[in-house]
Amino acid sequence: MHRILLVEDEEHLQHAIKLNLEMENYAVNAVGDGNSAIKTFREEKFDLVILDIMLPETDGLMVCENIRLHDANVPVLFLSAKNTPADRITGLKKGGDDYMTKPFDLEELLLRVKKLIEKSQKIQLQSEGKTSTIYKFGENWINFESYEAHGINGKLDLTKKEILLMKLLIENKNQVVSREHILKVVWDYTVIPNTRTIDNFILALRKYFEVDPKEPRFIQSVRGVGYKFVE
Amino acid sequence: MKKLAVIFTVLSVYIVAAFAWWTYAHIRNSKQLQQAEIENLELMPYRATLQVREAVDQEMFADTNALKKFFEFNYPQLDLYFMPDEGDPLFNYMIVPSKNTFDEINQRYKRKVWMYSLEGIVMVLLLFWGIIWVYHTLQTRLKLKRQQSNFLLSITHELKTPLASIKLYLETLIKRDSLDPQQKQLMLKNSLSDVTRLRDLVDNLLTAAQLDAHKFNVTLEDVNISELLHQTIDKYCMPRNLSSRLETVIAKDVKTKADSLAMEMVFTNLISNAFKYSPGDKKVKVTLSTLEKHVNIEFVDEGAGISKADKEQLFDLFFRAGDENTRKTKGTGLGLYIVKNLLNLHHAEIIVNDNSPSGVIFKISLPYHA
Repeated sequence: MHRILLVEDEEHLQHAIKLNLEMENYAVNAVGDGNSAIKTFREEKFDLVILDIMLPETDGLMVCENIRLHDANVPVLFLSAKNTPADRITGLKKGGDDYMTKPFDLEELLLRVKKLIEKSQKIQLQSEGKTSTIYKFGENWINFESYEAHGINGKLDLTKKEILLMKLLIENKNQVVSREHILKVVWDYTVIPNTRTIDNFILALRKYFEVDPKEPRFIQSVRGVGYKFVE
Repeated sequence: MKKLAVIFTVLSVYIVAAFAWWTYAHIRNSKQLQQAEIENLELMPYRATLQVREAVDQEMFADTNALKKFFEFNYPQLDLYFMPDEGDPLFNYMIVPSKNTFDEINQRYKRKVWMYSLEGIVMVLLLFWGIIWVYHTLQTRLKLKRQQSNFLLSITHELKTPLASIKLYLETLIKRDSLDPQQKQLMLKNSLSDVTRLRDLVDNLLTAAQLDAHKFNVTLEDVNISELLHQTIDKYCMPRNLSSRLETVIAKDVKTKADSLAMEMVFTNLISNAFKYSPGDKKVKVTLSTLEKHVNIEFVDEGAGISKADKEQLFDLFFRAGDENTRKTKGTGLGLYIVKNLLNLHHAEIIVNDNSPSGVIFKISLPYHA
């Protein structure tokens, strides 16, 4: 039985979607806010995430980004009242696989859910046995699956937070990622450190990957805002 | 907003510096002019002595009176003193700058310094007033624009969500034959509650539009405000099972002139807000009392409270605190605008105070016509 994480804060809508999905033989875990969604996704395995955007605590776009840091393959279907082309583009850019606007057709929703799960299963089967994801920049490389990396001083093992931070910066290549954004996405619902902690992580990453950490080529600071990965 | 403040601060500093420089330059020019006038005045006796001596040599004057007349006519800035003890007064005299002339030059300089200083100050003040006015206007516009954009987001959500839910329930009822009666009953009940939510939203939108266009009229008539408050609270709390969280201290049979429909809207908005912003286990208190010529009604909650900055904008059209994307409570920012404007039509007041230890108190003060 395929498992679906449904993130919807409107009680009635959540009830109706859950009921219909269950009647189609999906196992549904429904939550009503962004932080619970992140927590639940981390604790359980899902085949699909249906995600509202306007959510209490953490919005759906940030939830999606967080999900993508941990799982690049699980299909995410946005279900939102926001219906402009810009909203759809943002949703898809943040890692969504599909976007439906409210009010929607039940049949269409069920069909899209089915197709997304089938497609993801196929991709998963095809990718099994393939080599892990490696990202190269300059003389460095990072393996996001084995947490191994090669820096200026040779091979090293990165911590989970270091991997997540690098992944977030690389996914937003040439764009500034604010400290608040990093805190929300990398540290998510867990104990929030102060922004100084991020600076320390950045310093460590620069030591690994920059020839001159004081004049960084890849991990650059944007004063008063945050950091950006440049290549 | 921060960028705007920086631009206006830089502009203000530049203007003050420019006007300070303008004032200083004018005062310095006046000082130079004063010095030149004094120097010129000090040289004048030499020129005058030569010219007078020339005229005396040509025997133009019969006596000192004629000489004095000639002198006073031609050299009003100088004084002529005869020295008869030293011989013929026509040849023995002294010409000096007049003290009055020195005083006049100094006075003129002082007047100019005052004039430029005052002009500078007045201009700086006028410009400051203009800058502050422009800044406030821009700030208000930006705020309104942000509120309108927030309103668009919230109204989109508030309109589409119940619609989506009703549509989905109806489609489910058509598609699923296997639903048991309780499930069907629950779906219909939820759909009806969404219809009520939509109706309330449409009512609020229409009322806000009418109030904004000053086209909402109230009919003041004798209303038992105690009964109306009781009825409105029950109507809101009973279907939502909120009565156990409600505490009321309502004086009996208080009557006053009011529009009952408008007051019902006011009470519904305030009671729904009190519950909306209170955690699930906290009480909401409603009191009604009379004091001198006023009926006082208070809605007290124990929620998170409202910041000082938000309190100032609370009754503005479209105002909602925080970010619409991550809001815990749903709404449109119309409710308190409607409340405030309906109370204005009753010549009533509403104030918002902090509750202790947490939460807020909305206090209505309605004129009492016993």
